[in-house]
Amino acid sequence: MSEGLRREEERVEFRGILDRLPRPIRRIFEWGRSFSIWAIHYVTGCCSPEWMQVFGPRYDLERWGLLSAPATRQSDALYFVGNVTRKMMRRALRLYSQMPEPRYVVCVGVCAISKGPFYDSYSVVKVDDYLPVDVYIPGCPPKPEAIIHGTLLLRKKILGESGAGGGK
Amino acid sequence: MPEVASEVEKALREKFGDNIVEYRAVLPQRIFVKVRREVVRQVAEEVKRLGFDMPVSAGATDYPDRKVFEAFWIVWSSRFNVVLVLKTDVDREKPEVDSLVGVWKGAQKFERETWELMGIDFKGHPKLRRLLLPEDWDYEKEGYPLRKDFSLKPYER
Repeated sequence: MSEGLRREEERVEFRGILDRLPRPIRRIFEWGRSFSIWAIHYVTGCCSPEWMQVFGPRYDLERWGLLSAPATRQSDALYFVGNVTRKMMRRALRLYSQMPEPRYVVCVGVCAISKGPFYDSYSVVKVDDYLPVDVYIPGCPPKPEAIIHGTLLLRKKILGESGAGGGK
Repeated sequence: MPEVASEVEKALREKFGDNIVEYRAVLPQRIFVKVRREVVRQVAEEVKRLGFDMPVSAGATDYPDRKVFEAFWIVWSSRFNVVLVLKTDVDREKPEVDSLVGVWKGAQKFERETWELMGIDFKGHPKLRRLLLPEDWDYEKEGYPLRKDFSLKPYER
């Protein structure tokens, strides 16, 4: 648990740069970021079929700019899809530390949120104990609509981040 | 294929006698053989010679009231399409049993997993190394997770 990263100190630096910009430019930045969330999909469990559906022709989350990007240096969000074990969490922390600010964490499915059916497992951990989570998408597994809704919530959060309007 | 089950029984009983503790064919294609721990390697070689060539799985079950681990190897015969389960009792205080990797190479990962999660020492296994548990797992403090006396209470939350 000591490996957990705290959100506040990390966001301060980025906020400082952002706050020095004029408000309209801030808004443009946020608008641009909110429409091109590139996400690492940390798919470790059986929520993955839903995740695949989300990018299929029927739901197509790419309409909202979310792109599954397996490149840590160019990514904005880390999606935990499925249960995360202690061993996998080490790797996830490494990914997270490689991502540039601003970065967001989303938990998809009840396993990542609260261990779900593995509530007494010796191996599964809660993502919440290690990383600052921005959006929780509950469900076992969550429907594709729920994943889309969670992504839209994340977008709202990005838009309203510096208080420069938006997010309403 | 009832004739396969009875022929395997005949061959094993002839060669090992009392060392075969139990022989059951619950279905024509499902044979359970329980043997004594000392001869498990020889029985495995004989079973392989009879045509059971593919290891399907291996593992162990914990019986704390009998103070044993029941180690098992499940093998399949591609010639007869019959599954044979080879079982043996391993002492819980001193969990050691011969490795069958020398007989069926494919049992390597299964035995390694059993060694890791159950704490059974497979003698003669070529590569008993950590496989699934995290690197910082401390056996002294946390124990073997698949044993019955392993408590899940500290992990509940």
